[in-house]
Amino acid sequence: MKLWQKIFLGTLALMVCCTSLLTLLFVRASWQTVWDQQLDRALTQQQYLARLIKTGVVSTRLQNGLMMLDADAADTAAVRSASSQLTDEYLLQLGLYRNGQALDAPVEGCTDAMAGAEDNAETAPGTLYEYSRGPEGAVLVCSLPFTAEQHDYRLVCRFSVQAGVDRLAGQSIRLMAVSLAVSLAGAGLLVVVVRTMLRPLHTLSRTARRIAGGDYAQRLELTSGDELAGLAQDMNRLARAVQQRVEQLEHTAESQKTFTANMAHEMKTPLTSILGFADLLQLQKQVPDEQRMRYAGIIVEETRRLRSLSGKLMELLAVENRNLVLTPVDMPELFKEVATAIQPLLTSGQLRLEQFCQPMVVNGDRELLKSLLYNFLDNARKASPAGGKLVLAGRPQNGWAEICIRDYGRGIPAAELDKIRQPFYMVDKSRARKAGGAGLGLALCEQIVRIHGGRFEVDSRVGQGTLITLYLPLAGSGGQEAQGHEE
Amino acid sequence: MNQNTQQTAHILVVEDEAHIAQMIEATLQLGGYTCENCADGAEAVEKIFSGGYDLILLDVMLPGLDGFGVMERVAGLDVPVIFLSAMQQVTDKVRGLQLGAEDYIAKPFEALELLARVEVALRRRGKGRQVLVYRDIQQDLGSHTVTRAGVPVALSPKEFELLRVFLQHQDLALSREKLLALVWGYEFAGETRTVDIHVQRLRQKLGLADKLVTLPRVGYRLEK
Repeated sequence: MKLWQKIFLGTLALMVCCTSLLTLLFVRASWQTVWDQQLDRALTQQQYLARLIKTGVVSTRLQNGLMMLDADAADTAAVRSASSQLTDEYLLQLGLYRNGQALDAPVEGCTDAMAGAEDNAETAPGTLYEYSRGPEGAVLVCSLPFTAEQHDYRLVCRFSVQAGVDRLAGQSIRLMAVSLAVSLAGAGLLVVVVRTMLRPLHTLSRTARRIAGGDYAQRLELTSGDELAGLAQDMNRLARAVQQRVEQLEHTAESQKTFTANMAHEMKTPLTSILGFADLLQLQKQVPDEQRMRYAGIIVEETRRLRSLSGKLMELLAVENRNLVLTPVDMPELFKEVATAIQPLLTSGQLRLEQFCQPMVVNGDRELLKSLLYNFLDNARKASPAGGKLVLAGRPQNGWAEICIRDYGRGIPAAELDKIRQPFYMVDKSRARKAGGAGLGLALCEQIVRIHGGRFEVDSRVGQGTLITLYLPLAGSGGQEAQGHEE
Repeated sequence: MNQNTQQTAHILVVEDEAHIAQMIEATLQLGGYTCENCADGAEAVEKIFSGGYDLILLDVMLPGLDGFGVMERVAGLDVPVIFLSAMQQVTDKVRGLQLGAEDYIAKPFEALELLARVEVALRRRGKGRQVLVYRDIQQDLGSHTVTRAGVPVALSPKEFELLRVFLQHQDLALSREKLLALVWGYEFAGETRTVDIHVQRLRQKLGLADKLVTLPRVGYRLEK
């Protein structure tokens, strides 16, 4: 059942109960009034009758010229006077009693007390009446004591009060109808009000469905300021969180896909040359020496390229899956080691490396840090012309180890700067390949720097060289802790 | 190389990897085609519009304008295009073919596979060689007839195909596996023994016993 239906039915039931109760109370009150009126009317009529009877008795005495009527004569006169009264639809029957004895025909529904059987007792009852239900409908039997010629009589009358009852019933039905109508009208109004107030719920659920359907940018705009608006705010927060998460996942999936596609391309390119030239060598009956040398040379070169690629890929995988153990690494010492390791390459390229480092210690994986500096220097070497100079410098700076790697080579165009960290990205493909590059060097560096909780910046000008500024958290600086593995 | 009665096809190779371009060039020369190389998409479009090519071998990943872009621009010209790509996703292949390419070859590929695909693409456009000649043997691919010194020789369909492969690749060492793939199709799961039987029959029917030589542990070669 819908919420508005529940609210509607609940409130409707309550309203019907209330109006019914009110009607009942009102009907009861008017019932009492009607009865009182009936009784009043009956008693008035009865007193009038009693007076007539009394007058009848007195006139009989006067006609007979007597000082006093004895009991029997009085009875006879009273009865005659009473029976001369006409009965009608209202006054159904009347009769006279004396000391509990009916003087003529007894009145239906007359009790002994009404007949005057207890009139001599200490506590003599006065006027008596009683409602009852007879064949004529509701009736009222009244007994009125009166004295005529020193004799005590009781006049008992039976009145029909069906008309009053009917009027009451009609009134009650009208009242019930009115209360029901009021209830229904109230309920109708209620439906409108409730539905208006709950309308934002439709908007809420529609938007929620849309968000669930994948439209994560969907937002709710409720300004009612009530609980629904609060709920809308919460839903917006939820949608925002979901959207961010989904975008993050999509981004990760996208970069993984790009990585895989690039890797496939990078592997298939040398493979195509190798397979093609090997095939050519195998197919032909006779291959001229010059051609054979060229083909074999290309096969060797492309195979080296594959080897370099697989080596770098393995390194990258190793960094990602390495169980990182951070130990204090003395940077000046590390600088010397790296310089020694790269010296053969520098010598063959007629390059000169200037390196100096102020005493500082970095918490890190020694092998990875060495690989990091080596890769940066290797990049710098590849970019430098013969006879050039490379600089490797380090110093502590605000809790960070600031390391600069500088070359004076060809530099990187500004438009390429934001792409160079992508795996397999090469500014100049053909030259990078000739130098044995796989396009993974900076991606590897970035990975190593990231797991050490550091960062690096690349500043480059075409024709003037490149400056890499690397920041690693100093050991015991207390500030930046290495973040360990994958976050 | 082939004693061909028709003019050889001129092919444009659009490939930015120098080594692959060289390899394709050498392979095409082996198949008796002449070719020209181009390493840039935009330049390729210009060249294709200037005309004179019977077929374009188009790499998908090119600097600047990529292979699909080149294809879109030259789709109006009636030049068959074969895509070469290291991208293996079906969507790439479908996209290439939808643009109107004749074929899609995934890298890396074997030399003979490239030649076979080129041959098919050219023949479909009526540009391939219709008549193959070897000494006194003439094979007409159009009318499906083979004559030896002017006398018709009856060959079964597979023998005919096998002869075609040998005539198209004279003086090349063809392994049984390659022959199986080229004649019976790559999905054919037959035995290399099938190749031996058919070669034997060709030798008998066409008197090639001393020219269609067996290369130990390799396959066969039709000596010039």
